[in-house]
Amino acid sequence: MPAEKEFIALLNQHQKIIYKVCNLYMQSHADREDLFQEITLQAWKAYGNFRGEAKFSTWLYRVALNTAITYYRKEKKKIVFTTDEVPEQATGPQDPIEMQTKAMYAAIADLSRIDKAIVMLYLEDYSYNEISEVVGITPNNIAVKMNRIKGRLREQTQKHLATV
Amino acid sequence: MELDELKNKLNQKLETDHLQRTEEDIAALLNKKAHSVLNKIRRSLWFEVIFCLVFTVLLIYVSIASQYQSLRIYAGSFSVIMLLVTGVFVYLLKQTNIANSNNLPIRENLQIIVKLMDEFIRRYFQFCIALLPVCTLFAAVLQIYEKEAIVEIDLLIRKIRPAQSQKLFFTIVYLVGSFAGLYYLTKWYLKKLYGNFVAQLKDYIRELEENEKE
Repeated sequence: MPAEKEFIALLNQHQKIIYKVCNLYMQSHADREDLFQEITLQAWKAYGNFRGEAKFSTWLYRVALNTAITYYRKEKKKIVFTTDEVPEQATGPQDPIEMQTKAMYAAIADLSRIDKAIVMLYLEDYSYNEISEVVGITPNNIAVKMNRIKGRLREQTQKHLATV
Repeated sequence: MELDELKNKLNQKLETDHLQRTEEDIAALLNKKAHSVLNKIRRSLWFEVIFCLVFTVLLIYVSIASQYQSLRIYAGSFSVIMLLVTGVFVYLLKQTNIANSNNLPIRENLQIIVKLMDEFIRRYFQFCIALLPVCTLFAAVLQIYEKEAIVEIDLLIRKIRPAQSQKLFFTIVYLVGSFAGLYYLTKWYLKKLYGNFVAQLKDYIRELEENEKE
């Protein structure tokens, strides 16, 4: 099937997007794998509606974020996200920038599912207009939310740093 | 340090900690089963439709083969009700098939899923609750029109010999108990199954809309 081959090639090229969403929304490795599978399946189902009006990466972000936000699982014990789960880099654990990054990462993990989606697109350097197209609210609203999120992240990062 | 200053570092972190999948791995994933809430509802609706059709066939058989007139009327009427209910479930099934909304903006996608789930929960609840008054009405009407005695029930009544007040008391307790039990059990079941999830999705919609109203 040419459509299937085309889709697989495109997804293979952009699979980092799905990993990013999985890493941000799921804490355990098993949950990330499950979500990866679900996003892949949902993207394949929706691929028939992909007209190429938007970039494939933007379209995939939309499908991946929609799937992650509405991901339905039987109630599980809430796993507390800790900075220890962030993969170690080559630099030492005492590196202040590394510690800041870990603390910020942990603060992002504490955000609501909606705020995570906005932050994720912001990190990708999407403009407020582009973020508003994915999220479905006005660019002004995105700007207001982003300001609040930044404030919250600043506060939470300090808290996480204080506990290290 | 601010979010903007850590952008690259955070992006790097989000991209790490994963297995690089090959095209073959992705192709294998396409044959797996989806677990989204819409798929769950779709499976549930398919089960309801099949159950309704099998039950309708059984009811039609009883309505033809039973020796008791009351059972024939009861089963015949119920087979019509079951067919109507099957129609509602098929309609909902069609709606879930149309609502493949994952490529829509997040807010619109949430609104579509919530609307669909609300309708599913409402119809399911209406169907469960409507069964009891319908059954009660049939029981009342048919016991008047039944021409042939149901021997087993007559024997049981002769054995217990209840007084008129006892019969009335039992009937009231039975009806109130059944109504209350069915009402709260169905509510609890639907809330446990989908209610909490829908409430969560509604919170997300509220969160998205909060500044638009300000």
